[in-house]
Amino acid sequence: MLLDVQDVSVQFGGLRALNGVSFGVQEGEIVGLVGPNGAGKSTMVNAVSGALGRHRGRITFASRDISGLTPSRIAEMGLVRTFQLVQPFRGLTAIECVTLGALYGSGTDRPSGVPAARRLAEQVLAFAGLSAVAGLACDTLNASQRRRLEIARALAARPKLILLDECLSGLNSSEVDQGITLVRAIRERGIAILIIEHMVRVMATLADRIVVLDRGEKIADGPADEVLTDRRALGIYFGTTA
Amino acid sequence: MAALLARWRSSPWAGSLRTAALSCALLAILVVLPPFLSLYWLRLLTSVLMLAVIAQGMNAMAGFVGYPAFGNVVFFGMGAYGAALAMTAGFGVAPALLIGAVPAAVLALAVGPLLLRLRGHYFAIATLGLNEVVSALAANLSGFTGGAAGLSLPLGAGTASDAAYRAYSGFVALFAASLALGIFLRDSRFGYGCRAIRANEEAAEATGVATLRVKSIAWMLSALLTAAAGGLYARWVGFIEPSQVFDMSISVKAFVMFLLGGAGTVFGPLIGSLLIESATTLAWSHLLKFHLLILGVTIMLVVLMLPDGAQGFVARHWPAVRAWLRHRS
Repeated sequence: MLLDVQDVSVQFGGLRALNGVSFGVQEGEIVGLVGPNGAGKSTMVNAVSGALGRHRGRITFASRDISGLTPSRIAEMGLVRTFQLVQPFRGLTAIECVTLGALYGSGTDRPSGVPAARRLAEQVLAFAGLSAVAGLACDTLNASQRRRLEIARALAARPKLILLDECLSGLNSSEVDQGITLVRAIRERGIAILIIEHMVRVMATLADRIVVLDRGEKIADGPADEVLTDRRALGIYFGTTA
Repeated sequence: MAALLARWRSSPWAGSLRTAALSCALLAILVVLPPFLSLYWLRLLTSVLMLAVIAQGMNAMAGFVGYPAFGNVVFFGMGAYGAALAMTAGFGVAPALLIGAVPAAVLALAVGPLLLRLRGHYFAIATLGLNEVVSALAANLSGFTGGAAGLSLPLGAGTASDAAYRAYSGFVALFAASLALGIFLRDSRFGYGCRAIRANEEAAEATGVATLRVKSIAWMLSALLTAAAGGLYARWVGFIEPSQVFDMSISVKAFVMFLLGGAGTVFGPLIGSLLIESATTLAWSHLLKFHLLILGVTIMLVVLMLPDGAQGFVARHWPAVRAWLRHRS
């Protein structure tokens, strides 16, 4: 198991955002994390990536306990995330954002020096279809380009596991298709993916396995086709009582 | 030739090399300039360089990392006192500067991990507090520092003009170091980390930048540079007192200068220092009563109209100017 989340609980004041959730991601696997708003998906991403600081339970990555480590330490181990609200680096160009990922990020295969990092960044930008905008300030890109830039930055960090937090939301149908192709290409590089997404279409085409959260609890976990035909899980997912 | 030029342009180091070449040209001018200057202009240029160095120290933190280290003058004062005490005890200039700068760097590294958890105004105010604490210590440990009565340094050999030349060459050397720091912060891996923190600290941390460590080291570099300037200043003026070397208006000036010249740029602090010092000198000589008013109005105009400073202003309008020139020729 590459990522192993065991019995994780998070409490915000009187609100229990996550209640004893366990799941895992194997190497090379795409796992979808779904659930209605407020189910605890983003809290889970924050707990796993270290942004939350404190939580109960145990999270191991590549058989090392990462609970309580800083986000930068976790990224250095090869677990890199994207943000739900795209966080552009104001004042940096697209290629600089991606070079940053190459210079920092995972400690394995890190390019030695800025020129090597820049070459890697050029390759990753081409992979993400962003070569044409490499020199533009990243806060001038459109929504679809920003989403892909966010993924490119994470990819340049050479992750073993990438957390994609709603990386396709707010895109039109053809942009979503481009995004799906990109995520598939990432998996072909042998990178495991934990993807959070609202669109059933995306989950059905991408995920090997789906974990469903509702009000902080895990209510389903299994192969994508099984979970997506489970009436109870779907009912919760669409907010209807099945 | 054209192929060579194209390769050079596409090299990732082209920017660094160009800036380094420009820096060397600038330093060469500064080295050959003194014989052509009267003592008055030499002193003015010395203080321009000194303020450019202090402003670069401010720029390192506030410009590149985005943390307004308003109380940075504390390092200037520490450097001045450290170097002055060392020189009084008989040390040479270089070791004395080191004795002044090392405690300042240690202080930045020691309090950095605490204060750098604060952001924006809160961080600025905390650094102001730091300056108050250290300057109160300097004023009250009179057995050690001479207290509020100040501290006189041993006179150097030679005439007044020898001393002026010595101060000038010291600050030229330090100015060279400040340009090197600027290039480092703009183009190195560490510099990428700093700029990422300024742009978006949370995303920088998530990308693997150990933000607290990078910020602390950047502040330490800023402290080293500022303290070395303080040490040279003490040797230059020969007498220091707490109210003078821990004076907040030094920080304010440095802040205006790097903002005016261009935050997060290599030459911004020099440009700002040249502009402000010439303006202040003119204002002093003609409008003694109003010079602070002019400084204040300048600050407001810069913040409102040149948010990315003179260098940014030029960079923004340069393509249009070049197009216009091409069109004319």
